[in-house]
Amino acid sequence: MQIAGLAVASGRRSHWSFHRRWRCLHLALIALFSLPLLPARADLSELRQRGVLRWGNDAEGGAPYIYHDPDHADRLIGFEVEFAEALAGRLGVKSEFVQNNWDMLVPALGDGTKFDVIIAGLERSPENLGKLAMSRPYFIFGQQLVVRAEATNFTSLDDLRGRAVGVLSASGSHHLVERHGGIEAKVYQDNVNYFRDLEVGRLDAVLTDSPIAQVNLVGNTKLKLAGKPFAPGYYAVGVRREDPLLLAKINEAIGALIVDGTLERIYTKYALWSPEQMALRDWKADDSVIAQTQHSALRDWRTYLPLLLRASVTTIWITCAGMVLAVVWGLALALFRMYGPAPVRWLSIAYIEVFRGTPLLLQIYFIYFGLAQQLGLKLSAGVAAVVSLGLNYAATEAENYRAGLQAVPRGQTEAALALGMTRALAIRRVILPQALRISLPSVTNDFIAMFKDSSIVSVIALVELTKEYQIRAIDSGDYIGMGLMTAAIYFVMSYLASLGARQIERRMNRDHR
Amino acid sequence: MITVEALTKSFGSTRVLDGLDHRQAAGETVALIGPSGCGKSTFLRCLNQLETHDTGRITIGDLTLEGGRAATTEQQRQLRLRAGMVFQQFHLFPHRTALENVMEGPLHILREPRAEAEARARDLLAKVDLSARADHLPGQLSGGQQQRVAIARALAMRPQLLLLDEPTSALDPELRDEVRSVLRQLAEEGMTMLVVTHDMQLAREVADQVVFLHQGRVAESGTPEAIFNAPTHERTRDFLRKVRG
Ligand SMILES: Nc1ncnc2c1ncn2[C@@H]1O[C@H](COP(=O)(O)OP(=O)(O)OP(=O)(O)O)[C@@H](O)[C@H]1O
Ligand SMILES: [Mg+2]
Repeated sequence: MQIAGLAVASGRRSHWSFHRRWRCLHLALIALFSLPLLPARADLSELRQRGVLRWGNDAEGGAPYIYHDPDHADRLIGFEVEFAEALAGRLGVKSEFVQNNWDMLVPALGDGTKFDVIIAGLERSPENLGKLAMSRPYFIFGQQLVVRAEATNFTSLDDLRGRAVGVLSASGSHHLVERHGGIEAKVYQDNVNYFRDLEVGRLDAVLTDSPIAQVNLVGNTKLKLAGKPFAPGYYAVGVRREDPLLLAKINEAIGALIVDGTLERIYTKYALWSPEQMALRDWKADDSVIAQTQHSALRDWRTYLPLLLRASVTTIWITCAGMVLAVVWGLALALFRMYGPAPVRWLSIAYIEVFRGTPLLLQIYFIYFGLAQQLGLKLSAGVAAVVSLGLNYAATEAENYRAGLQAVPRGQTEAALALGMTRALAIRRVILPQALRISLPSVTNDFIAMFKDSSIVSVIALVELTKEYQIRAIDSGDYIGMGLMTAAIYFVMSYLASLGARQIERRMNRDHR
Repeated sequence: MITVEALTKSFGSTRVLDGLDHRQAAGETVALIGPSGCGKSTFLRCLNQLETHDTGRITIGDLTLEGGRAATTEQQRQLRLRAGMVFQQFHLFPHRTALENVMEGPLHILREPRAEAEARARDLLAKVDLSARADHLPGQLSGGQQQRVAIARALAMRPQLLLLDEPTSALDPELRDEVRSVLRQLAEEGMTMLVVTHDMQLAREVADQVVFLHQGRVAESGTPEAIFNAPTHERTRDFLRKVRG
């Protein structure tokens, strides 16, 4: 069956997540400077004039929403692609897909310069209605629990107290699990990796939208659906609030697509049609006047600061543990490289070059997902993060130490040997103490850099400071205030770390002028 | 006590030591002189195996090392334990105090108890007149003081022979006397020393025998009076004329 291969295709989505944090800040700045200056743009008439409906979605979103045709890798298919085309057709214009990271779609809609509407499995939830206008629904779905095939005692969220449940970042499932309380929400950037982690036992369940669950479980014998779909939700088209005319036209068009059977035809094609979808026909808007939910992070700091501080604890321990590993392992590597016998020396050089020459992100994926899949080595996210950062930074530290070792004058080695020391003793008593003093400033600089680099581990469902920022910024809509608060925490951490580092340097150099 | 027979050493195609013979009795101090580049430092470095000689043999006390790759690392180390070395540029360990520099060998190589090592290190510092500077780092000492610490550091290993490569050359003239007097005292106490030097005053004061090295061989040797007052070799006369200016 065609759909079986699609889950794999959608896995690529996760590689985008790395850039998201940057985009957050970027967007925050754009919002800051452009909103007050530019008048509202791109209303219905302009759209007609252009003859194109630009809709935003994330091509890595996966089946059955939007994905690359397995037979024609450059062609996008999926029920939302076909829905968008049908909708544009009804409006008398062409449809044009615009790529955007999924969890940043709402802020990216902004003033409508990038795309006109969002068609991306966006739920008609109070959270979203607080931020933008939404059309009448075009699809009804439920929240679906997925568990391992052998699990028997999990059928509802109540059974999962104290357990780890995987959810998509900023999704309806994410909000549901958080609101439920007592459940450990593991936040993912995509709709594929949480199924992997469930398979290998890092999660006890996944909560996701029913279409995602259905598609990803086709041909998967390790996982099963648990219980019936619950908490029904509605996918709707996201439209700018300043565009009521477009909204009205879209509502009209969706109504027509329901009545003339176009939606049924599309959903049947993707095996998504069920009688429940008939409720779309009789849908009545009852929530058109939800107030805009813009929280100010700085005003509500009592709510947000503890959350950010809790996440910064994760940042701190990952960084400290990672640095301890890097400092120790890096020293071993440097000694192997400088003084080891030829094969050890080559291995050490190869290690250093490989770890310095490949992206940290790739190494994290390899250690967290790769090892679990191929060797059954299931490191927890925290351990995998520490190991990845440590192994990666060890290569850099090894080079710092090597520079230090080489900077010790040759006369020192000769004096030590002439005294009668063995080579090993000369290194330990004479060369290394001097070399470490020389390398110390570079090592402490790397320690401070690691505080910032550690944000990359959020790709393996670890909520550290930057990830927490992202989640809360999307929730509150206050990218600036939240960003200032987060930046302040990073600054304090780095500043304290550099104070500590200077202290150590001073102590080590006290007797070495 | 020291016997060196037919020593050769080449760097690439340059032969630096070319069949050098040398004999020295225990308690004797020999000054090694000769023009720049004639191989004096190389000879000294061979004697404690910072360079390995190509052919010939070196005997210090009961240990004989053949040239080439015959000697093991441990044999080389044993030779170094017999022949202490003092460098032109001192090479003190900059991260350790004067006292720690002197204690380093006894404590970590000879594994003497700390109290004993420290007591002896203090005695040696007293002997080179640096008791007051025991807790100073090398960076806080003058050149002459550093060189005296370096001598104490080498003596702490109780070597049978002390090798000194131009111990006064890096010092300002007014600091040389303090090093000379330490070496004079050592010579009087019967220490066996081989000192490479351009400092003719030092050679006169401490040497029982002066050896003139030319092109990797011993060209002439004798008592300081004989060499300085009545050199027989043409090269020796040239050399002495130059160093006297
Ligand atoms: N490691 C080395 N590699 C190559 N050539 C060397 C090396 N060490 C010394 N030489 C050469 O060997 C020769 C003898 O050097 P050596 O240092 O023994 O001379 P020296 O008699 O101590 O001279 P000086 O009075 O200037 O100290 C010189 O020509 C020098 O360039
Ligand atoms: Mg020399």
